[in-house]
Amino acid sequence: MRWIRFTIVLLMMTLLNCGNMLNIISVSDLNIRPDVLVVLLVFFAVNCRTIDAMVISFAIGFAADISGTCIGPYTITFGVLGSMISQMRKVVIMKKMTHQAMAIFFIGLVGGAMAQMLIFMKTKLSVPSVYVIVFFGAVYSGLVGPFLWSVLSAVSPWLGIRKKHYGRYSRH
Amino acid sequence: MARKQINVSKGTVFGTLLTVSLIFFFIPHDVTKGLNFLFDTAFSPLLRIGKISMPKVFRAVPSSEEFVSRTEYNRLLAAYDNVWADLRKEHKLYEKLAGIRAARPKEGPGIVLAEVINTKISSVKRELIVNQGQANGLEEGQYILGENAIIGTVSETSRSTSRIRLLTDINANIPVWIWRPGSEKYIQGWMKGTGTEVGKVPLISTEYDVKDGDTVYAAARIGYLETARVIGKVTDLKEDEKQPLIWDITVEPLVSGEDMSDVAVIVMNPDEAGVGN
Repeated sequence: MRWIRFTIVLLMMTLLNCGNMLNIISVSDLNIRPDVLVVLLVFFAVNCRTIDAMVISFAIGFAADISGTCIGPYTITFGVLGSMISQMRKVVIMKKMTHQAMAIFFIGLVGGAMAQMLIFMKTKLSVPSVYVIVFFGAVYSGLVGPFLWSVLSAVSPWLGIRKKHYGRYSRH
Repeated sequence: MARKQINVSKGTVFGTLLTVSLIFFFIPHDVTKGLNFLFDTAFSPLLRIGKISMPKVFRAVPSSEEFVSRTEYNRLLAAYDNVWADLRKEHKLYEKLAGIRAARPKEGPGIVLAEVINTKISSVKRELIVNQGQANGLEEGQYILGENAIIGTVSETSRSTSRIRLLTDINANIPVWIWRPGSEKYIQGWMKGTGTEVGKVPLISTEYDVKDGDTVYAAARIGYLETARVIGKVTDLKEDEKQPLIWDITVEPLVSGEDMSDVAVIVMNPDEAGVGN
């Protein structure tokens, strides 16, 4: 893993995620938009070595926190979920776009709900109908995710990710 | 040159990272919020890219001297409504002074001009980050003026930066008065943000005379707002589907605040806060 390059990619994705650029593709009055950091989390958790995946997951979570409302909720959520996926990749292969979409949707849904709960615990700020927003945000992330996944796959050799890990751990 | 290999178990790495995360989580928000402000300030030029605003080419252009653009119209309308609110207050004051002699004229509020360094519009937040903070007298709850109309309140401050929650933010909730010229009384209520471009005033009984086009003001609040200031207009009025005895009032702000580059913060005690007028 080339960590400096990863940091650059993470910074770019964080700026994309928290800035206003994604509003161009937001839908409905509620500005539902895909969460690119969730896509990033699932991609790296699936494709990196377990220890690297853990560090990356916590780092992505910290990036989501620092660009968001408060520090802690996303670091914990993404860290735990990313570490779980990195363990599961030994039994699940995500080569097909539908599998990738489902994984992104699931992590977006569980991670979003968990993070919002922790944000409420820390700041006491509740968002009405937040779970509707989280659900549709996860759906949107799942739809857009596989395309971003393809882009990340293309740059993965530059990031020092060896894709052959897929086959090695596969039980097929 | 051979790399030094560090052997640590997965459990140790995970445990350490989780512990650090939990420490971050349990540190009070007042301590860690500086990091969020630092990020917003550091990457402000990049974060502003892609801000949604209607291209100028689609905006109404005056075809003759008798017409003004929608933006200009809203600005003038806000000024007009504010003058009405002032006039009403002055009238009440005059009636009071006719009987009692005012002891000492009250110090007026101060205005702190702030530059918007970032605008955050998403499904869960609609807020501005501005380049003025506690050092300039800003405090939570203070009202924000943009082009003569109230657009939001200060929700969080650091020493040199503040977060402004727009009135349409899903967590926004401020006392308002609904009024139209000629009415005897204000109708009091609370305006809540919806996370979209409008707000709602719930729990107003249908016994009250509310009409489409009525003006909605941010209510005067001791220590925050001396006189009522205009927010917007009632644009949609119908009986609540679930509770027919309650109005479902939709308010469209005159100024959305999302495209502002500068705002004014109303500081009620400028001398105490160290703000010069």
